[in-house]
This record gives sequence, structure tokens and C-alpha cells, in this order.
Amino acid sequence: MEDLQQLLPIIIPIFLIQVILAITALVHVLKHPNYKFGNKIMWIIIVLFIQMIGPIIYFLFGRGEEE
Amino acid sequence: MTQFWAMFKKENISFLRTYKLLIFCSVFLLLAFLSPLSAKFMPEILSNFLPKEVADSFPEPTAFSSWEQFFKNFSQIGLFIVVLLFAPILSAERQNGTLIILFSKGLSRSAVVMSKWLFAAFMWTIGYVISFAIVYFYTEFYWPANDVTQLFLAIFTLWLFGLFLISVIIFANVLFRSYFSTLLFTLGIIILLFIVAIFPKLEKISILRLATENNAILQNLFTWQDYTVLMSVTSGLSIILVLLAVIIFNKKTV
Amino acid sequence: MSIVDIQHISKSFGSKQVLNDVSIKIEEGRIFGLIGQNGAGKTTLMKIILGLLKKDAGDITLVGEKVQFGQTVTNQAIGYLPDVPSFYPYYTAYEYLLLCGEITGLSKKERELRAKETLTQVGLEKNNKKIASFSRGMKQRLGIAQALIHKPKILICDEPTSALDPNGRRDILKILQQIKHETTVIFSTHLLNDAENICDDLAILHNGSFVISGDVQHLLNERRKSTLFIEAPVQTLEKLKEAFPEATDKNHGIALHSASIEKTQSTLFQYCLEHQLVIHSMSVEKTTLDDLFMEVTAK
Repeated sequence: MEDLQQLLPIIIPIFLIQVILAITALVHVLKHPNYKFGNKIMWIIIVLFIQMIGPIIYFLFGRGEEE
Repeated sequence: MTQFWAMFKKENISFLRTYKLLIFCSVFLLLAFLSPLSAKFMPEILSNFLPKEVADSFPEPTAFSSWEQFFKNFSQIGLFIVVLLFAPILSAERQNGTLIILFSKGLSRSAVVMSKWLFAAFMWTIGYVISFAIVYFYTEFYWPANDVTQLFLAIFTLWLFGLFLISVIIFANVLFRSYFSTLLFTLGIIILLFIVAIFPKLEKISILRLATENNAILQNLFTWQDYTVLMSVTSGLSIILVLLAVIIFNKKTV
Repeated sequence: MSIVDIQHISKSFGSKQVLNDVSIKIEEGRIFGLIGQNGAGKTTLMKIILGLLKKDAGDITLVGEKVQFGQTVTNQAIGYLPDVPSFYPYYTAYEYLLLCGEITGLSKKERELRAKETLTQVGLEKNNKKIASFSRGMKQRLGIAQALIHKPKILICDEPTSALDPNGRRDILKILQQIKHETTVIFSTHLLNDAENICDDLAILHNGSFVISGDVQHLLNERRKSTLFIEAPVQTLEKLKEAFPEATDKNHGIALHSASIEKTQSTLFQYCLEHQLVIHSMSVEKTTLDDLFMEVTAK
């Protein structure tokens, strides 16, 4: 248990970064349904379930130009 | 100068609104937090999978392990993200033709190249310094009594290597219009650096050392004197690459 | 003095001669149409005027200054709208104009003022959306706004109406006509109708050189045909055809060619009076830019 307490101050920011990234990507996927490729369901799954890499791939390669 | 700052501002807005800033910050911060974390807890995690004798043979993690992780992360994934995000910085605009209107308004080509170089260098510096601060804080927190010296030299060499890489990217951007060609060219240069590193005689100009000897520096195997020539060579090459980029771009038809 | 003076410009790409010793003067305060088929060298000539392309030979003087490739002194006098303008999709129109204003060296106050003014001129003043969501017509209008931001003496538009639907086209032509008082407009097109509607002067580029140039109305009047066109009820037309054997059928009416329009006209009136014939209309047939274009490019 002592380990866990030591771990918390560093686990929390890591967790937060991933959550922020995933949520931003999710909101974008839902609001802008024009993707360079793939469909909405596919991107929701990628963004939510592939940690870090999912949202990055979405923003770099999947995001459509149109608003 | 007005044009230079106008374009620099534009780069900032572009980086933010194309979500590159988000990616950049997330990756850099994550790498920073992971460095002390994996140093401290990796042996414990490993001991769950390995036989007890093997696990016990691991040395106790120290502040050095934390910095080792930092340098490993940033010389690999960190720089990879820099290349990935900045490789299309000019080539994309040349492909889309977004510069044509601005050139017709009298925008100078050197302002374009220089503002892009400075922006990439600026982001790399800020991201790197903040990440360093985080790792420093946690390392001091977990290992308050440590005898890490020459930390500044170790982080400085990797930073300089990053700047060199950015200059290579900018140069490649002037040569090629496609994202892929720029990546390939940059990869080619890195392979070249690895080849140079094979020959001990070329030690003084082996730029790769800046990104691979950081741990050795912490262990006091090298000092500033060992790098003076190499640092001058690297800075000089970077400046030449950027100047060449400006000259070549001036002669290109958009 | 002419605001644009093009002297003996030649340019080739590889072995293909695109412009062959082209010369023309363009006067201030006019709308000048640069006409030619696709690939006639219109864009090439414009890019040379802008200093975006190297010329092989010749000289261009803009507002008294010589144009040089890559040099930007003369660009202060020009606003340019490329054929397919590309903008930063993540900017709003207003932000984009501020950037353009800053690059041309306007102060913060000036560029904010000019951005608003030009947006109003092109009818985009109420738009706060990112450029990514703009239609083609809106992008073309923003293109004109950015070209006008620094109050240039010359506005150069490359095929500004070609990619647009009829509504968008009308909007652009209207804007061009309105700004004629502030700036000389040079625009290229292969749409002869548009050129005829708004140009004061024109030049036709064919096979790398100008085959004709001058004041539009003057050119057309010079070539006014000596043909009368008459519309009338069918029976009347039949009778007229008997009386004037040289008449030919044309678009629900008849066309009368003659050496002297006045003479034919009075004979016709005489004939109608005597036989109590009623006609719907009679007109001297106009030469259109289409006819002119066909004539000069057929050679």
C-alpha cells in the first residue's frame, strides 16, 4: 500500500493526459463526421480503446479538413 | 521583421488549430512522467514475472535510472514525434499552394523558411525544458539524496541534437514537396549518422554521440571539453543547412 | 502613361513556346480582359507580371517600376487572385485578411479597418466561420478581398469566374465592376460572355501572341455586320422572302445581308407600307465577342 501512495502523484497526471486526449478526440470525431477515411464507429473505438496512439492517429491522419 | 513575426504567429495558430500542439504536449508530458515512473517501478513489476534470483540481481533503482529513462524516451520517441509533426511544415504549404497569395503580397521567402525553423526550434526547446523540469522534480522527490552531476551537459547535448534534426527537416522541406520524401530524407541522414558513428576515427564529428552518450556523461565519462569540437560542428552544419534552405527556396518556383 | 507596360515578353517551358514576343499597354482605371483558350498562356503571363515566374526575354513596367523575378517591390502595387486560391482552412476570413494585411506592412489599426472594409465590399462581413466551410464562390470573394486589402493600384484575377455557378459568377462580376473606380482590373477568362459584359479593353491571346487588342466597344463596332434581322408573323416572312430573294432564315426570323444598311432599311419600310405588312421587330445584327474571337483565332 505504501507503494501505491508513492505512485499516485505520478499516475494521476499520466491518467489525466490520456483522458484529456481521448475526450478531445472523441468530441472531434462526433462533431466533425467527415474523415479522410473510415467511419464514425471505427474512429470512436480507435480513439477510446487504443491509449495515446489512437487519438494521435486520428488527429494526424483521420481528421477531415472540413469544419 | 514584420513579415517574420506575422508568419511565426501564423505557425503558432496553425499548430494549435490542427491539433498538433495537443499531440506534442501530450506525448512530451507523458514521456516525462513515464521516465521516473518506469525507473522506480520497473524492477518491481519485472520481479513478478522473473525467478527470484534473477530479480534480486537487478540493482536498486536510483536517480540515474530515472535520467536513463528520460534520455532513452526523448532521444527516441520524443525526436520521432518532432520529426512526425514538423516534417510537413513547409512541404504541405507548397503542395496546397497556400503560400502563393502571400508571396504575391510581397512575403519574402527567407521569412517563410526562418519563421518555420524558429517555430520548430521554439516548440522543441519549450517542450524539452518543461519535460526536463518534470523529470527533475520527480527524480528529486523519489531519490532526494543523489549524486547526479553534469546534468546540464547531458541535457544540452540532446537538445542540440534536436536542433540539428530540425534543421535537417527544414532543408528537406525545401527540397521535397511530399511528406513521405521529407521523412525518407531525414531517415537517410540519421542512417548516415549511424554509419559515421561506426568509425572511431570520426569520433570528433560523430553527431549521433550527442544523443547517445547522455548517460555516460552523467557517469562522468565525458566532460564539456570532449564535446567542444562536436558542438561547433553540429551548430555550424545546422546553420549551413538553414542558410542553404533559404538560398534554394529563393530560387524555386513556389 | 500606361499603368502596365508589357514589352516583348517571351517564355517557353522546355521546347514549348508559351509566350512569343508579347507586348501590350494597359491604361489606368479600366477593366482589362485577357482572353484566350485554356492553355493559351494567360496564367503564365500573369505570373510573370507578378514576378512569380522567370521570363526568357522582355520587360514589364508596373506603375513606373520594372518587374524582377522573386523581387517584391512591385508587388505592393498589385493585388492577385490566383485561379484556385488556397487559404489556411483553420482561419476565419477576417483573421486571414489580418494576416495578409500584416504581410503587406499595414499597421494594426489599418489592417483591422481594411479587413472590415474589404469584407463588406465582397459581402462576407457577417461570416465568422472557418474558411474550411466556405463554398467556392465564397472563397473566390475572399480571394478578391485579400487582393484589395492594401488598396493596390492593379488587381489581377486569373479566371475568377470559371469555376463558379451562374449566381456566384454574377456576384464576382458585380464586385469587379464596383471596384473599377479604385483600381485597374486585369482579368483573364475563356468565358467570352463575362468578358463582353464587364471589360473596357481586351486582348486575345492565341498561340502565344496577341491576335487583337483594344477597346471592346470599338472593336465590336468596327466589325458591325451589315445585316438586318427581322422578326414577323410567318405569312409576312414568306412575303418578304419573295420580295427579297437574298434573305435567309435565321432563328424564327430572316436575315438580310446588304452592302448598305440604310438603303435596304428604307426599301423594306417602303415595301411593308405598300403591302400593309406588320413586323414585330427589326434590328441591325450585333457582332458578339464570340464572333470576334472565332474570326481572329481562325487564322
